Amino acid sequence: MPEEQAVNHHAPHTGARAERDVFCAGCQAQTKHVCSVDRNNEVLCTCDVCGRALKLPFPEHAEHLNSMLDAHHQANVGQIRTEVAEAERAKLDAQFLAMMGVK
Amino acid sequence: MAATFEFEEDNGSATGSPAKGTTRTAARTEANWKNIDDSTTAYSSSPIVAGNNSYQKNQFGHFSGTFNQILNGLFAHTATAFGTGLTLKGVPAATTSAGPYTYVTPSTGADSGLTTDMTSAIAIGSGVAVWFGATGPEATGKAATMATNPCYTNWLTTQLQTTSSAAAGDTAQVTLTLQYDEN
Repeated sequence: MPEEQAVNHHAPHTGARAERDVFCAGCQAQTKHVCSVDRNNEVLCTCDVCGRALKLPFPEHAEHLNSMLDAHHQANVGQIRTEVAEAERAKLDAQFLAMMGVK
Repeated sequence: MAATFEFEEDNGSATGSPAKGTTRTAARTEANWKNIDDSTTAYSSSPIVAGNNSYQKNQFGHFSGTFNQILNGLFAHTATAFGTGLTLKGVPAATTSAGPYTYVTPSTGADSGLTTDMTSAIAIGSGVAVWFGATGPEATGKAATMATNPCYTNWLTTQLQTTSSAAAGDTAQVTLTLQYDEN
């Protein structure tokens, strides 16, 4: 479930912007991100789906940027949000009660 | 009998090898992100300007008392959502004896060593693995199970990164959880 909607974190940023697929920890998927250089000379990428922001120090070269994005992906794949975990537990509880004949 | 636990915090320039902070403070009871690297200034006195990042919060766990083993460490943001424009970054999972993170002199620059996105509250089972060392969070020889007493978790460093869309005022009070077993 997107946790932020239609927020343009880049609104005051001027200069270069580019779109790129980046792994979003919130969406748990590769999503389109808008990336730019912010006023602190850091790379800011924001998810087009949920608005989650990802900041990286300014890379030395393209390979450095790619390696930081890869590390971000590896570190964040597989997170299970509390609401998803709770929904799964509720489903299992309901199934168990049904098996036990408890209404 | 059981282990005695407390959070502790390092601040100041990186010193020594392996690196640690210049100052180590015991018995920390809060982990407020702020625009200063210390364990004493109130966050309201050093607020983070929207669009900037906090200084890293270099906290860790310290075990003493009576125990046979400390094991199965996990660390995660487990309750309460952050508002718009706020991203919490934390240490990656521990996988080597050197630990997942090396202490750096705190700054407000985005720390590329903090690769875990802790913004969303997740189940603790999805948290990053925490290993334990004998002499400090900076110690080599960390392991997933530790029998040495006292012992310490690896760094549980976090940094709050903000965009210009972050609202003024306090953030929501969130819960970060360190879970472990003791034998």
